[in-house]
Amino acid sequence: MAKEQYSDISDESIHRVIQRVLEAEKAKLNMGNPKGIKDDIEQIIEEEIN
Amino acid sequence: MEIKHLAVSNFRQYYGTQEIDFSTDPENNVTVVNGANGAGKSTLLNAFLWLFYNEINLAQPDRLASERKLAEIEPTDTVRVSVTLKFDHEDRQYEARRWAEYRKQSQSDLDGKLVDNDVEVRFIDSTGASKTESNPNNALTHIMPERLRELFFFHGETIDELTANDGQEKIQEAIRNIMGLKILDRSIRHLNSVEKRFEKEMKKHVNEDLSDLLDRKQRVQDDIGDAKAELDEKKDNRLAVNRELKSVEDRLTELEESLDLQEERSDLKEERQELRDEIEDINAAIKAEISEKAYLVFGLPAIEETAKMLQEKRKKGEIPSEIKRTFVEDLLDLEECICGRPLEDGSEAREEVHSWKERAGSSDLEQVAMRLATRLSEHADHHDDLFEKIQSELEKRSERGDRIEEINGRLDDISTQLSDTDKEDISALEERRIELRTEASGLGEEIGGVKERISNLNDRLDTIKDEISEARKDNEKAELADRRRYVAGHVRDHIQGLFDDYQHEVREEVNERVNDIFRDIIAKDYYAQIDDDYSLRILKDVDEQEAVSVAKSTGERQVASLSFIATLVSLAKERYESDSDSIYFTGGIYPVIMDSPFGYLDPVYQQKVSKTMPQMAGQVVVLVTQAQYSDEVKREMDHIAGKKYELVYHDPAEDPDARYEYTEIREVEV
Repeated sequence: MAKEQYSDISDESIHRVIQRVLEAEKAKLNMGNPKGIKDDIEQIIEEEIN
Repeated sequence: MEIKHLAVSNFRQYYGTQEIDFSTDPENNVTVVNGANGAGKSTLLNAFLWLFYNEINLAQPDRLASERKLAEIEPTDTVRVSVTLKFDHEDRQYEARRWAEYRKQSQSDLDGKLVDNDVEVRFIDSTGASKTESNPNNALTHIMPERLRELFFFHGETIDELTANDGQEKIQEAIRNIMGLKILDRSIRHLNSVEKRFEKEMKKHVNEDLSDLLDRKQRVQDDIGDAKAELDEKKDNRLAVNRELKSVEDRLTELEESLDLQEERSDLKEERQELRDEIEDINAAIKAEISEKAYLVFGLPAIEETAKMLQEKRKKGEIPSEIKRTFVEDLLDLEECICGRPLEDGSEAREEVHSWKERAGSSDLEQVAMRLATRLSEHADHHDDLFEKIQSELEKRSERGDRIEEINGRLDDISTQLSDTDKEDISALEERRIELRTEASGLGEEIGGVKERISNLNDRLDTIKDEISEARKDNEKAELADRRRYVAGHVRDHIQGLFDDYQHEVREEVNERVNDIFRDIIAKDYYAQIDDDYSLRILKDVDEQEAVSVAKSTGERQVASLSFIATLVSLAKERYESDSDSIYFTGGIYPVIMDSPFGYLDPVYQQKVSKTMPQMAGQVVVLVTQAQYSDEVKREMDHIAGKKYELVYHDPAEDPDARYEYTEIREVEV
């Protein structure tokens, strides 16, 4: 399991990513084509995991 | 969202500007619009769709301009079509307008050609400030999400599609949209893509050469270790050989017969060493001289040429000379010109000659030129000095080299004499001395070879270390990308878990409420259920354990669909009122605009739907024909309708004053 491979990544980091990803999705929920959402998520993960 | 006022101008059959004020009274939240078939009920529904989404779901969707208006204007004139809606949303008062301008092409043109169009959204915020949305289309889809349109703007005669065999997708989508599952669903899909992006990034950086490089580094380090050990061994050997050599030479000195020769040899070797040291010093001196003054070798022609040029210019008087100035001063002192004219004070001739002194004076230019000429001459002298000095040093070196040659010759003679001596022990010692000298010399060469090998190995080691450093940097990037890939996947799996749990919970909640509403409306012993595959089915209990799906009439299917819509509308409202901080969809209060909602319903169902829908939604707009507005519906609607309107359709076939069809909206007293 990957989690064992990167056990140093804290649950807090994972939780922050989940919250921020869902908030980003919510901000673009009403757009038929949520342009740039993948870039947004990529950036969130890059900011949290560095 | 609360809709307040609609104005349609020259929109399809609506001629001029026709207006509706919607009921905003919570106790009387229904606005009824009555109109015959073809009068414009569906056009009104489409006015909302056009305004919010720029879409028309009617036949000939491009024919937006009023036929009557186009008939009235002259060719090349234009008619402006618009839909304006005033509404409140989240503490703001909005006015949204979409408009299009059509130009009449010819006398008989009743379609018009679209020449311009736009949409504007203005609002007054809670502080009273008036503002304009910079992206009005985006603003409108945020206020009234397109994904929810089928729930809030619907046509009753086709609503039963939800219960059809292919209705699952719509039901699933509607539930996901209203209950916040859409956010989770999209997150899962997008995280999947992002995980792949990081995987690609990782593969781009991963450097599989690192272990090979580390192996190579280890091998080179081992080789260096071996070479150093070999070097130490050879140095020890040379030390031992030199010790023995010294011992042999000492022994030769101790023997009376070889004493003189050995002492001479010792002196010669000492002298030879001194000469070698001197040669080293000479070489160093030559090197230093060349380093300091080599430019003279290459620059002298240019220096000489410059000095020559300066001299010529001085001769021509282009550069004043020291001699000329002195000469003029002498003439002035003598008070006589070279031509013999007296140069008395105040005379014109003296002034003339004096002016030459001024021009020939010791100006800065002259001084610079003089200094330059002097320096250039010095450089030429340095050039000569350089060659003389180097020549001298080379001669000294040659002398010492010659002396070393002599010494070597004499040393060979001494060695030969000692070897050839009758004294056996001296001869043997000398033989041994020669052997040891040869051995020491060989070891010296070998030591040099090993040192060079170590130096090369160290160079290789540095190169490999640089490559390892680069590979490590690559691998660090690869590992970071892999960590991010893992997080994307892990978060996706987590959200998938949330989605699965929440979806089940949501379906149960929706199921329960759909059935409650359905059973409240339907007269028979049926119940409605949303299956695991999201089909909306009507079931009947056969016994306590078994229920069967029953054949459904169009009316029953419509009741089931309306129950489903009423469920979602009410859940959206409840969520908005109770859970606005949820990370998922926060719900919303939207008006429900129903076109012909009672199409296939029996009167008893019409009455119950009329009673149920206004309870579920914040605002209801019912677009019905007079026939659909049955006594049963009327009984329910009349006491909760805050506003009533009638669509007055002017049919050219029946109205002799109407050359072209058009519709007016008239308010009816409630």
